[in-house]
Amino acid sequence: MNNISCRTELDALRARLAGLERLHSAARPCPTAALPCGFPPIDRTLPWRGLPRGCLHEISGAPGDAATAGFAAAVLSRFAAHGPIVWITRIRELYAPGLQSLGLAPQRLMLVHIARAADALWAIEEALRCAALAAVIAEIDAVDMTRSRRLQLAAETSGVTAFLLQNETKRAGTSVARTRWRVAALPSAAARGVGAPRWRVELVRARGGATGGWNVEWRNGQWHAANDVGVAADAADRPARAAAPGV
Amino acid sequence: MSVWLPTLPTDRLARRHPASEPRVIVADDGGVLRLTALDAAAARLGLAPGQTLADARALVPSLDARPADPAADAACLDRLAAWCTRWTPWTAADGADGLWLDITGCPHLFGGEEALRDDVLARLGRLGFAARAAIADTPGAARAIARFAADRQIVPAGESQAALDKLPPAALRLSAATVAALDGLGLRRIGDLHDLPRAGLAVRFGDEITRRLDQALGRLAEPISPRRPVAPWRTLLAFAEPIATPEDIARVTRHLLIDLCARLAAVDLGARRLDLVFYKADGGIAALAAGMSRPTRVPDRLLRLFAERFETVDPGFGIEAAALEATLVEALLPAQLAFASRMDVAAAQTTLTGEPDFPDLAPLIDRLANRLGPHAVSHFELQESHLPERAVRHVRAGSTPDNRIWRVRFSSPFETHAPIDAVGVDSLSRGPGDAFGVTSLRDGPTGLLRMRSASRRTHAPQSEEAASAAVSNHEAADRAARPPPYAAGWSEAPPRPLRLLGRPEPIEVIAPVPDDPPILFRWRRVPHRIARADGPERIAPEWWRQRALPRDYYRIEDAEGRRFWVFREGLYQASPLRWFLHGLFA
Repeated sequence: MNNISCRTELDALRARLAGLERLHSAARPCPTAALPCGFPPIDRTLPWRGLPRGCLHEISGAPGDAATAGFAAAVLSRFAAHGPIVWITRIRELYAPGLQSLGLAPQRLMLVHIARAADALWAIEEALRCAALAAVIAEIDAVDMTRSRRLQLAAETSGVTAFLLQNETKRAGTSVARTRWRVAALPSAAARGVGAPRWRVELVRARGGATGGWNVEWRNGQWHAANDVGVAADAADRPARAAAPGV
Repeated sequence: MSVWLPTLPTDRLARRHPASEPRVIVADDGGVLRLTALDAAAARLGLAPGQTLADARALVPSLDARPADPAADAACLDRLAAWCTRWTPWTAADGADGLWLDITGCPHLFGGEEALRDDVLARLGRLGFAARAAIADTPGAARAIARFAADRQIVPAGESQAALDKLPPAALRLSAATVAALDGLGLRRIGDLHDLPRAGLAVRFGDEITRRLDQALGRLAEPISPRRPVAPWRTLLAFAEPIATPEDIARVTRHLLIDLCARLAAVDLGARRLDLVFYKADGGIAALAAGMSRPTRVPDRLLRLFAERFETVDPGFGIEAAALEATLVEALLPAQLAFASRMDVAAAQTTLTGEPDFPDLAPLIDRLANRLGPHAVSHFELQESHLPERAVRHVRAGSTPDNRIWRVRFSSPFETHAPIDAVGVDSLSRGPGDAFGVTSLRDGPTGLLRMRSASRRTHAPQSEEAASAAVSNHEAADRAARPPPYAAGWSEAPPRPLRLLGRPEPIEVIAPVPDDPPILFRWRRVPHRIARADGPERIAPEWWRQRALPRDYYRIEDAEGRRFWVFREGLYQASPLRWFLHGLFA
């Protein structure tokens, strides 16, 4: 008896929270609220059956590892269908043919080059306010709770999705990001030579959902599971460590 | 109108440090300190410019002597000239102690010539500058009357000559030697000069006298060069009470923008660059500028470009007037405004103009570019080069260079044939002209070309299918999933890195000879052991640009799975060989 009333109360509170967060509110029709990232195992694990739009996502990786940006570009290629994308960088290193090979059409991209770190947050927020965009991605370290909440609010208002590419060693502990990913390069599986890009993708945190880890390969413009191959078999499809930092 | 500021140097100092004693300005004249300027108190005591400081001190022991600073005086005069643009945009400094104001067409805005003159003098007086002003048909006449006749004189049109005739020749801006020579000849008034034969005057004094006389009488044009180019699109607002808060500044700016935009709309123009100038009560100005990627005349959008910088405006003791100038305007047809928000029309425009498929990002681009700098916001553009660092360039977002239009014009052949940059010979012709014809592409030296188009045919349907399968339930997505007109220009093979370093970085390499990839390299002090490698891909330098060595590129992967793009510079025979890291693969 007591248990049941507790549960209904909890459900009511959850519904109220969700309403406050506007993620499931009536203002936003359901099909556009989440966008499948194109890899069924990941989409099944995410509670929204895809990446929710109009909120904050974090992707972190080892410093100087291009796998983080590669994974982000592959995910963004799904968003590019819904509008232009703004990519905010500190260093002009992104190379258009490389983006193209990851499925992200370079002509859908607007680049914003930031000379001072102080401008980065301003630029992200400014871009998030522009509802014509599909997504904003920024290479930025150390976004604290208050700032991430600001970004989250801006993203909710406009429905633009924000991705923060972070250096694993420098990222701040907490944020309001809806999902947090960690990406690292995996050795290639080709018989000889360097094969298609392979990544270890870990969903470190998903609000209201389970975490997970996958080995994926990006081949011919599609995700493929990379569990079947010898090199990384021991790590394949293992659930993420429960005590990941900051969760 | 000519304004004379006879005591500019002392007035300038008095604004900072009020004088308790008679003050003079002295300058070193061949080892002797002489008075160059003095304030009213000093003048009343009988001092005069040109006296030595020792003589002056003998007369007035408590004299406050300060060194002359002509540069500061000139800067002060220039600031005043800028400040005077509140009455007319056509202002300039006149010598070291005067101002020109071309008030043609302006007096009615301020209640007539007398009211305008009184306003100028009153405001200058409030700033602490003693001034005399005169209005006449020509700059020369106004100057002569301001300095040599009674104060506050306004010469009616056509009566300059009568007013000038009574004045001494020195009023004509003649050199001291000429004035002295005329004095020696007994010519003590300008009126005396009219009767003299012009040829004789010219022989004796050059054209100085006749030129100045003609200028003063309007027989010879004497244009005043304004401080800055005068923008034809200008609107001005003056306030009864000075304003200071950012909110008031924003409100005023909004008024100005609405006014200017209405005028621009009447002639189908839009502003590309705006200058906002605030005239401060303390005689200074504060200016803000904003640039737009496309011609715009929406007041609210323009206001946002200025909005966050209002905080940086230092109002001093208050702002008395504000002016808004459109220094660059371009045609903007009304239809463009109405359609800007409609996606389908935007897409149609895309194919016409070659703009990338950005719906209406102009407001965002403007806001980012105005804060971060014009080159901070860019998008990729393909260039015909097979050198990786030159194959892509960053183009300012919002700009529409001609070559992009050309690329789209030729886009349909590329769609079915080959990526532009895959064909080496293309690099030879880079003009937008017809030399780079479609036929040469089709019939060119094309074993390579055929191979590439074949590989495209196998890849393209697959990826398109994948994209449309993933998003099939969205109408908008379906539209966008179609490849844009020149998407085929971006090369897909051979593999290219995701990040290309701005400058290849030298690495230390252990590599077997002669053509093998490295087995170990050290980059940024970290050693990497190579597990896999692809290559080499030889990329030759562009012989017509510089003397450079060919590069052999290898795609390599270290033990942890990180992928790099490294190259060896030069052929193996050439010593020394150098290795560089050029990019990172995802």
